[in-house]
Order: sequence, then structure tokens, then C-alpha cells
Amino acid sequence: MKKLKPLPSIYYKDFIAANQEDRADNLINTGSKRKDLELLRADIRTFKRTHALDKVIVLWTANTERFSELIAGVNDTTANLLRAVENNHDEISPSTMFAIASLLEDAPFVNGSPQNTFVPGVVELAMQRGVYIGGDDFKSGQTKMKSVLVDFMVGAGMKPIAITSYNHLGNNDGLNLNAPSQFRSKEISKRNVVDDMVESNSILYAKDEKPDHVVVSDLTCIN
Amino acid sequence: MSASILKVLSPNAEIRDDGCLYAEYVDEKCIVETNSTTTNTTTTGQHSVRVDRRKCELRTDLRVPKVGLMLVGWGGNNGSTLTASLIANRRGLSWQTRRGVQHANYFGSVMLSSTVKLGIDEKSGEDVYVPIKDLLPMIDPNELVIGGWDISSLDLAAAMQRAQVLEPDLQRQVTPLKNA
Repeated sequence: MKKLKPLPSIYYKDFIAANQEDRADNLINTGSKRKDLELLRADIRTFKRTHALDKVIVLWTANTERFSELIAGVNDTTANLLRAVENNHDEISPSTMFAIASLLEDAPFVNGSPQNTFVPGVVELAMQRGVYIGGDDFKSGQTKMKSVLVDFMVGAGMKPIAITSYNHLGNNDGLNLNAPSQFRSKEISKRNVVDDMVESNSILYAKDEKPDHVVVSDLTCIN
Repeated sequence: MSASILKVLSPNAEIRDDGCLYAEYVDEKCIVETNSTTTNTTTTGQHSVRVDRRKCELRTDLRVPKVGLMLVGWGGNNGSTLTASLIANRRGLSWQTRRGVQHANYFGSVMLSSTVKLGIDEKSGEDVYVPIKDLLPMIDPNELVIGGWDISSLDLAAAMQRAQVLEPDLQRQVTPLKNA
């Protein structure tokens, strides 16, 4: 493990919590998104060649970013998105940059954080190139339990009227999510989970009626 | 490398020279036309249902590629724990915990630790369950090459320490080891 060293990564300050700046000492610092994209693509190609691989898969397991604003003419189509990269547009997140680089190198890209990496321009690019993209937030705890329990209850004709779930955060993930706009990404992703079950049952829930759903985060685990 | 333990006896499935499994499959969907009235509490209506059938040919490539996984945020909690886990499983490591010896395994993984019901036994009528990972030739995680990026320059041993996830004896054992 000692000999394994991560490649320098891109860091656009505004997208993750300011408290992450302390650990950001391994950066690609070109100042140009066009150059950043070229470097990321080259990293993928080098990795594939060095290890004589048939396939590379890229997985995002980095900090939760704030949501990207969807702007017509910027990230709504592939052509606009690639032009926005050329023009160094602010509203392209690191995760979207990694997604674009992966797709252009035919590497499937899986997202593990709840931000909106897959803006319409990325989805179109994936379809154009026939390369898989997928994923939202890694779900292994409260979200999975919630999906299963609500599915059981609604399926059995019982009506949840309020859901409060506790998200026990830890370590650096918790520290990053301490910032409101990053937490908002998490909150949106976790709350959407029960929508399908609620919409499936018009006896229990009137149109647009939903359980009162609150996500509480416990940040006391941060050291 | 896991090879499939299944032999599918069916006129609709065959393995061809290109190493792919071709299966004829009919996708059926129930298409509903609704003439509805909606009140405050419920929607009632006349539902007319018909079946839409679409013939598909499913192609599954049975050749397992050599795969590399690049993690964005490789030095985080997930990345460092995953890397150590792969090394531990590849080497069949065991380590001391305060509750006794723990052996490396993939418990907690849907793909590697869960089973599906295949059918019923021809003779006994009992349910037959097989591991999901044995249904088709699949990537063996112990063969994955791991790499990636991180905004922090810490090497993976230091990152694993920073994460404070794994037992000390395991951390000690994997620190000098590298993946293949």
C-alpha cells in the first residue's frame, strides 16, 4: 500500500466544502478545463497501457459536490458541454469532467456521490459513444433500510405519514457534508428514495401527497 | 477467474464461435389504456390491458476481460479500504481483532456473497440456490488492477491509517503489500 500513490486530481474549490482545502496538495493546476480534460484522458490511456488492460472502469468515490446549475447552452447538450469545457466555463464540476474524460476514452463511469454529475450533455455523450454511465449515491445503510421498510409497509397497505432517518456520518465525508450546499446534494438524493413507492399507491396517498420526510445528520463522529 | 457452473439446456440459447452466449428472449409488457376520473381521494377508471410482445436477441460476452478500476478519490475512506480488502482477499490474510482471528472474505458484497434460486431439484423437489457470481463468467475482484486520482498526495498506506477504518493488525500486514 505504501508504494501506491494517487495521481494528481482536479480541484475546483467552489464545488466542495472549504474545509477540504487542507488536504488538497496533489493537484492538476492548469487553470484550463480543456487542458484538465486532456490530462485526465491521458491518465486513463496510460493506466490501460501500463497494465495491458482490456477495459478500464472509472468510479467516483470522492467528496460530495454541490449541485451544478443546469444552464441552457452550457451543459444541456454534448456539443454545448464540450464547447463550455473549451471556454473554461465555471459551472462544470470536477465529477462532470471525469465523466466526460471517461466517456471519451470508452471507459464506463460510475458515480458514487449524490451530486448531479450526469447533466444532460453527459447523458447524450454516453448514448452517442455507447458507453455505460450509472450510479447515484452509494447506498448501504439508512437509505437501503428505508427503501425496504417503506416498500414493505406501503405494499402491505400501511401508510407511513412521517419518516425521519438518521445519517451517522464519519470522518472526512462528514466533514465535507458539514457545508450546507454539499449536504443539500445528499439530502435530495436520500429523500427521493421513497417517491416510487408512494406514487404506486393512490389509495393511501392522494396525488402530490407524501410522507413528511426528514434526513438528520449526526456529525458527532467527526474527529 | 470464476467460470460459469451452468449449462443451459434450451433451444433458445447457444454459445457461438465468437465466445458469446446468444439467447432468444420475448420481452412482454402489459400496455394499459385508461379512461379515468379523478377525485380528491382516488383515481378510478376503466383499464384496458393488452400484451405487447417484442422478440429480442440477448448477447452476453462470456470472455472475461482484464479490468482496471480507477477511483476518483482513491485515497479516501472507501478507496483505501477497498484497496486493502482486495489485497487481503487476494493473499488470504488473517488478522487479530479483539474478538479473535478474522479471515478475509467478501461478506457484504451483493455480487460475491448472495445467492439466487435457480430452480428446483429434479429428484428431491428442493430449492436449488447458486451464488450469483457463478451464473456467468465474471470478473474476479482479486484480479482487478486498482489506480486512480486524489487531491491528497498521501500514499495508500497513510490514507488507510487516516481513514481509521481497518483493524491495526490488518493495516500492519497490508502496508508493505502491493496489488498485482
